[in-house]
Amino acid sequence: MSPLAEIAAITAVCVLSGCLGSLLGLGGGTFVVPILTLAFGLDMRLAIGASVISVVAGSAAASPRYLDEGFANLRVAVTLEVATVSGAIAGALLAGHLSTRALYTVFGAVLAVSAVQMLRHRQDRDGLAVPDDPIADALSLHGTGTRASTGTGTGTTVRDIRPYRVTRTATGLTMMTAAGAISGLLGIGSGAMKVPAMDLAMRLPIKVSTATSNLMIGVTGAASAVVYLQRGDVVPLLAGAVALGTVVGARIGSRLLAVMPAEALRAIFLVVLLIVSVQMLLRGLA
Amino acid sequence: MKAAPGAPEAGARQVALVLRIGGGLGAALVLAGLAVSFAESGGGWLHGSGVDPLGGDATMRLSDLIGGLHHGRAGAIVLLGAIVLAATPAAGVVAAGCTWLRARRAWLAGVAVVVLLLLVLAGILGAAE
Repeated sequence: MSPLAEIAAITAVCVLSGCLGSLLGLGGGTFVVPILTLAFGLDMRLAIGASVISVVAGSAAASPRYLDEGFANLRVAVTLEVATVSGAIAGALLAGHLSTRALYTVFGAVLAVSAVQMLRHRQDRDGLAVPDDPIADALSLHGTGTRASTGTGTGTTVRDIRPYRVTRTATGLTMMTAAGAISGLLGIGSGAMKVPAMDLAMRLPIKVSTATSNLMIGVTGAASAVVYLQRGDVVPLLAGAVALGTVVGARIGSRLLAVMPAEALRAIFLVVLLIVSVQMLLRGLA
Repeated sequence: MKAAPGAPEAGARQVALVLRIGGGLGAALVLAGLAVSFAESGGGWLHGSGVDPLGGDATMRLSDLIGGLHHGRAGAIVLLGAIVLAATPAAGVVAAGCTWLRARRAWLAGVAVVVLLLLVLAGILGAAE
């Protein structure tokens, strides 16, 4: 394949991964690294370098719509970014000292654990009591979110908007530190860990979790990107092609989130996580 | 200070605007860099001759930026776009922090400052690698 065809193919595939990444709150990197390494045979470290840039680009493309439509919780995002950015710095610094096979194995294991966690907690938790949380109260993290959008038959759309309370912020911060470390280590947004942390531990609605994860991913990715850029692990043209595809895909994905049923979103998320984790584990352990 | 149900919260519109501007500018620079690179070495891209533009030999460091731009290297333009993209979320945090400061939400503004300090630390540690 000529470099031009390769760049065009990478950009096209990244449109799809950016769309899925934005829709699922993963940030796209979860798919970009496996695609670049498994399908295009690129070096793992260079794939991660390109991925961190695409993660930031995808977040910047998708998040404005999520903020405008009230899906993303800005206060929760910035609060949790303290933990994710700390973790990302540690992870990015550590990545320079780990072997490629170790990176594959860690990547696959992290995704598999996230998928299992989501699978174990699939039931709707509406109506369950949410424990009080002094940190969430002090920072006014509680909010309102759109649970579903339904057509009325007259062409108009009705939104089911409900208030939600945030809980277990300390647990969320702990989980986000780990998510940030994985993000820096593997060049992914770590939405696969952030979404379950917000959805399962902090009890945010799934759509608020994915939208807030998308917003956070940009800042976490920026912390990692600085380290990768300083270290010279970024091929500009590769990163550029990946970023452009991701931006286009993320914009498409952000439009789909409002109309996508929450359960369908969770099901897609699970299937994708399982497939990618198996592929990466096979590569790492082979 | 709570927003109406479904409406954007305080600071959300400002952050969204910053992200749109930064994301758009970064993507435009990346696109321009790719176009310049293709114009410079389109033949190599079509036939696969010369240095692989996606290979390990084409990596660039942050410190290569100024020299690369000075010599009109297409990779440096793409790198500048990547840097703008990487700086955009930090600018979003600045916008959120300023909004919260104006709204006298000191705790949230403080959290935003901590995030920005951590990003600066990332740059310092990355440079020391």
